[in-house]
Amino acid sequence: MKNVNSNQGRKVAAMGLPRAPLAMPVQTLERRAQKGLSLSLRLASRATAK
Amino acid sequence: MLFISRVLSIAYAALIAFAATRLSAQVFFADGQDFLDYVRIVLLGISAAWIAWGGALAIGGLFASANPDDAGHNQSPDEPVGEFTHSKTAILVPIYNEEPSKTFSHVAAMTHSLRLIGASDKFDFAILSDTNRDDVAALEEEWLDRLVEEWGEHSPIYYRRREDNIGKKAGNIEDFIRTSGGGYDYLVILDADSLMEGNTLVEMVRRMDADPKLGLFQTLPKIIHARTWFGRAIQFAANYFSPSFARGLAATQGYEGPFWGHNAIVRTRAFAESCGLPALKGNPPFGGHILSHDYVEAALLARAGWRVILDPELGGSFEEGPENIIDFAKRDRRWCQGNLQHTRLVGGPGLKGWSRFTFMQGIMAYLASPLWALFIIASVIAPAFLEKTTNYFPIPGQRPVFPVSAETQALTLIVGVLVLLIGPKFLIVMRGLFTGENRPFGGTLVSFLATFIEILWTSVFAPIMLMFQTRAFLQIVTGSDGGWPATNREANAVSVGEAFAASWWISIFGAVLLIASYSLAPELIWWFMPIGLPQLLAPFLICLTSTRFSGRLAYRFGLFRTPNENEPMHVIRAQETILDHWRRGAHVSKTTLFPKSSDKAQAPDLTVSPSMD
Repeated sequence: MKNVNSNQGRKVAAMGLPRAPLAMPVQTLERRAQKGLSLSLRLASRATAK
Repeated sequence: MLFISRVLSIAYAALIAFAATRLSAQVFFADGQDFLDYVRIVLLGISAAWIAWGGALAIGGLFASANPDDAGHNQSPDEPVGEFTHSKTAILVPIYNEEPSKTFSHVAAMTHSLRLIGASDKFDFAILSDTNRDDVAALEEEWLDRLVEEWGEHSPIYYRRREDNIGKKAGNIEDFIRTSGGGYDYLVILDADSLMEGNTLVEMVRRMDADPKLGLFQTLPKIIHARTWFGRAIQFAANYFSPSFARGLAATQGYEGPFWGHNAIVRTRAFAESCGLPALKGNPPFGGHILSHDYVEAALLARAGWRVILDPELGGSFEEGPENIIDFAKRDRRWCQGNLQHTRLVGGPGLKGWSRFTFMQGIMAYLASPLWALFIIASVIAPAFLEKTTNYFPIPGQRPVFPVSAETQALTLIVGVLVLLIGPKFLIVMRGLFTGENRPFGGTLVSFLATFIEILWTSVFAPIMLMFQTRAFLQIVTGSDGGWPATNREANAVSVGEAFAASWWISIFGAVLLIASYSLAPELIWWFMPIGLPQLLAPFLICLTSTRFSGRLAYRFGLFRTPNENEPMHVIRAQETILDHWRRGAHVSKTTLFPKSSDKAQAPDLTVSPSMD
């Protein structure tokens, strides 16, 4: 990743983009057994998942 | 109250669906029963329920109180706010191949608006570029220099560019949080075309400070700067009708949303803890990164116990809209894919019931068009399945059965659907008459006329959009990924050639529909005309309504005017002036261009009225 800090040399640039990392854990969103809305959508979902 | 609002809305939709089903059964069974009749009854029942649901929200919004003294309009744009918070907020501007001078003029205007009220030190701006076109990236750096030079004095303006676009917009925000989120209590999430008044930003921070359980606060952005007929019609609808629909929506959503992805503020800690999005198994369109991430983030915040609130009354929140049908359909294609992807998340663990219901609403929004298309097709071909001669003795040996005319029921059904569609809009006009909300739109008569024309236009536009949505739906369920096209935020007229290339198949469908209905059911041809004719003429309608001339024409006749055209808020005037100066290569003098509000009488007219150039 490129971090272009084009503010260099100016008043605001001296501060730079603050480095203050914050964790962002990945959430669980899907059940193991999917319950789609319709059969066709489930089938399409499976077909594209292959 | 929330429970009652939800029950009433659902009951209303269910009641309408029941009535539509009953009436349609009487109409379709009048000449005997066949398979297609049952198909049509089911399709009409579902569609009526969906339309009624929208109507229920609008009607709910009519009874919710509107506060015309909302913060964005009430507060003077240069009255110091004092030490209003100890919190620090980052204003995130994710960009992706947009024309930078336009976007950066929005940032400049917001820094200025904050400076005027003495709130600059509480806000940092972070332009988060996901631009993958080198020529645009070079322009971004060029315009950034100018932005920082002229407007970076009070609020720090940061710029960061990702070379990969992992996770698209959601990934862009997530990347910022992972690297810099710890430095900020709140994040205001914007789009490249968002614009917010300084007082509105301050009020959003105040709301977050006041309620420690508030995870996300969503404003209702009003569309500005429309220049074409199409854009102006959308702009009018967003300014005039949307507040009522949004009030109704807020009344049913309670603390469970919605989040529309921009013009909102989030509590950084809540968002970081709850909203890390997984990539779904498999390939797009159903797998991969979550496209309509905003709905999912709202659901995740609610799941974690945070409040997600929409307040349509807070003014000073703006965005721009698509200026022609093609751009509208492109954006819609992306939303369609994102919402259908939610079929995999409806059953997600631990989600609130209403969050699941919200997902289903989003899915239904894109199922509605294919259902209507099926209903139309079934209605055209149904007469072909009728028995050629009437059988007066369907049961041998029993009394004769004479055919019953169901003309009255058919008319009731059609009028009922029309009332469902247009009724809420006229009720909004009526409400405006009593509340004074019509005044900034030019008064009740002008609002009524604009509403009438808007309804006529949407009747023409709807059959075309029905085709685009149906195609999008079919493409997605058959596994086609629409990708992530950049949004065109500048008004570009669509040529006849371009319009024809994009919609020739709609014209063919319209022609086939009219020919088929004429051949199979000539007595019904007039009923199919309002659908088939706009489809047949789609390329011309797309082209004509995309021109600046069409927009100017509407403006000259006082049609679709909005309060921010008649009397633009400060931040809009500032943005227009800055962009105008930048594009002319002129320097913007802050002191002479933006005097104190007390000097308004001497102030130069800054309105680039209303960008109809």
